[in-house]
Amino acid sequence: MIRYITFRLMFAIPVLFLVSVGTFLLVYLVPGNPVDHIIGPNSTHAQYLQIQRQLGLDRPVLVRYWEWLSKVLQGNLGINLVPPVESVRTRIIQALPVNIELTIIALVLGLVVSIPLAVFSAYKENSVFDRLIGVGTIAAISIPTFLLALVLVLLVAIDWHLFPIGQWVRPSGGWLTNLRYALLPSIVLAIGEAAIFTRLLRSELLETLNEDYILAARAKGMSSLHILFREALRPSSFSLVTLSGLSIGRLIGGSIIAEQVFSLPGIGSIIVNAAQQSDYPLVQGGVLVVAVVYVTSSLIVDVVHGVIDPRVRRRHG
Amino acid sequence: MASTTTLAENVRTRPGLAWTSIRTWIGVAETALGVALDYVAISVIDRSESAPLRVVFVLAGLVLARRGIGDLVCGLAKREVDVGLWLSVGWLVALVVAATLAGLLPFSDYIDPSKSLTVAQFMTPNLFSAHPLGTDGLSLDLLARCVYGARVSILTSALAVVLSVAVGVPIGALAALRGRAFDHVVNILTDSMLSVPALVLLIALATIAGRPKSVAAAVLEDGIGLAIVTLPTVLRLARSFTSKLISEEFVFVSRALGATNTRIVLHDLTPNVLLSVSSYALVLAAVLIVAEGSLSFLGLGLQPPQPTWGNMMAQAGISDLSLHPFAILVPGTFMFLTVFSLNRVGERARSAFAAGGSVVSVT
Repeated sequence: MIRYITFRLMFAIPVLFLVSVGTFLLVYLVPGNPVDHIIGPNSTHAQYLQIQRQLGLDRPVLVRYWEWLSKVLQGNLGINLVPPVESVRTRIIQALPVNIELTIIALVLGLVVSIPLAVFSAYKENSVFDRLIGVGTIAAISIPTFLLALVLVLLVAIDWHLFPIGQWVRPSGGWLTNLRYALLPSIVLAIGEAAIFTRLLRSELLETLNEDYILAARAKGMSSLHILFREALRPSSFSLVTLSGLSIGRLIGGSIIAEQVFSLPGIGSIIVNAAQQSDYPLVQGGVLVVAVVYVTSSLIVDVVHGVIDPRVRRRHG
Repeated sequence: MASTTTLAENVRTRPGLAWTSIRTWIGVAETALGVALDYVAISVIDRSESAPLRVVFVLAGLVLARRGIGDLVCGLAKREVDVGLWLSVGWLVALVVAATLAGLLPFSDYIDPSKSLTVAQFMTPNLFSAHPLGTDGLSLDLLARCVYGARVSILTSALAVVLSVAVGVPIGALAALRGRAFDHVVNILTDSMLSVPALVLLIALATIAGRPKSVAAAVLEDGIGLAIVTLPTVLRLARSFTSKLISEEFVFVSRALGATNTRIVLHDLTPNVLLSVSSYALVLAAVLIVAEGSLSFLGLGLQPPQPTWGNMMAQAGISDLSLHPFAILVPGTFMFLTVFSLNRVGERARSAFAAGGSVVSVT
């Protein structure tokens, strides 16, 4: 077990290193000079040199990378360029709770919807219901998030007045109010996840239902409900556990579109707005945090997977 | 329970003569009713009527028409035909043809608002007018803009798929063949790229590249960006197909007959790996079209007045949503149908041509 965890950790470190190099180079690769973005067209050469020295741009790349990395490791992500100038860290810490809340609600909704659908669809393979699920899930995967979000806003929020839109109330402003604002964007995120979960669980269940022990259970006279939920679901849900773990990492940074449509102050909005204003340090910080969250969550998922499924452990151990 | 299923299956797959001829006529009736329902819902019902009602009508009409076409075709062919698949192929072919010939088609103006001054803004779709799908906020023709927008989507995703396959397949195959250190390095590289969500990576790349103003620049910049984002998926596909194929008997036989390594790679593996990876091309293109759409929806892709599906929807914006839903729904429908068809056809291509069925999920 320890060998397996060490193996996974050994693998995560170079990945994190490469991600840090990539995000650092992001600023370096931007055409033009960051200094030009800060100073106006009428400034003197002396001012230019001064700002260049302030930003530390007159030193070699490797030195700058090292300094940047040691600051990042201490939790200092620098300050952004476009006013209001703040520390990048503060901005991201303010934004993260939004993403965490959306992710949790979306994941729970996705699982609650997909498990019964998948079980019933696998139980009645090739039935009308199964085919509807087949087409419906492809449709749900195919529909672009922004279209889905806009259509839902049009129907649920504007026409039926079920949910308020266009702002965000922090949990401190009342949990119930907060939930009312968070639910619709979470549903948008949940639909895509639910479709992927359903397809995966259905195909795994179909395989399990062909096993001999299911036949034996049926021969013993156990009810279909018992067989499906008690006997077949557990061994079929390994990949679902993995996938839902991975979608935590993916949703944290993958809710950009939903945030943008519903104007939520999450990390995705930060990245997009910073990108539109060419505010590189902010883009850099956002991308780095999102990537670290993803790598960490996939690391945890792999370790958990190794704990619950001994076959995985042995393959690498 | 089992017996009823079998019975039902028998009836569906081996229908009697009477059923097929009745089915044709049922199909005609259903199609006509569905089209009529949609026409009423889109063109006749007053704009002030509630949107949910219209949506229900439109959807019911579409489902009915789709069923009708299915029954009609199956009835005429006297066997079960996967009509959905052929409708998807039809949509894709029609879209590509229209996008290619867009300059020759009798469209109203799609880009220059000064030429459309006499035309009303936000016209609702009316299939028998000069603006079959209506106009947008600048009185430009939505159909024409959607077709020109299709050019960007199709060219960008095609370029991205070609580039990522051209770069990814040799490297991925080599990783599988060489194994050891090289494989580990490639693995760590792909993992690092996959650890950033695709859209975030695209946005980061778009900050570097700047915002494209012309169609050619957009196709090139976004195409390269999307290729970078897809590269890890293609690498993994190529790697897993290669390692699967290399243990197949035909490679073993080839080796036993005295074939050199070069011959095995070029003659036995390359065509098979390429075919398997290419069978994913359509599914990849579907993902890429959504990604390109998202990028231009966020205002980081091709800039207006040049149309793309994404920037058309962003331009119509959430503020106009309740007043002029068509300005968003028309490009949205184009995009949805295209992505849906690509997924549908792509899944069939994948199960037909990929070695050993599907191995990696793309989404």
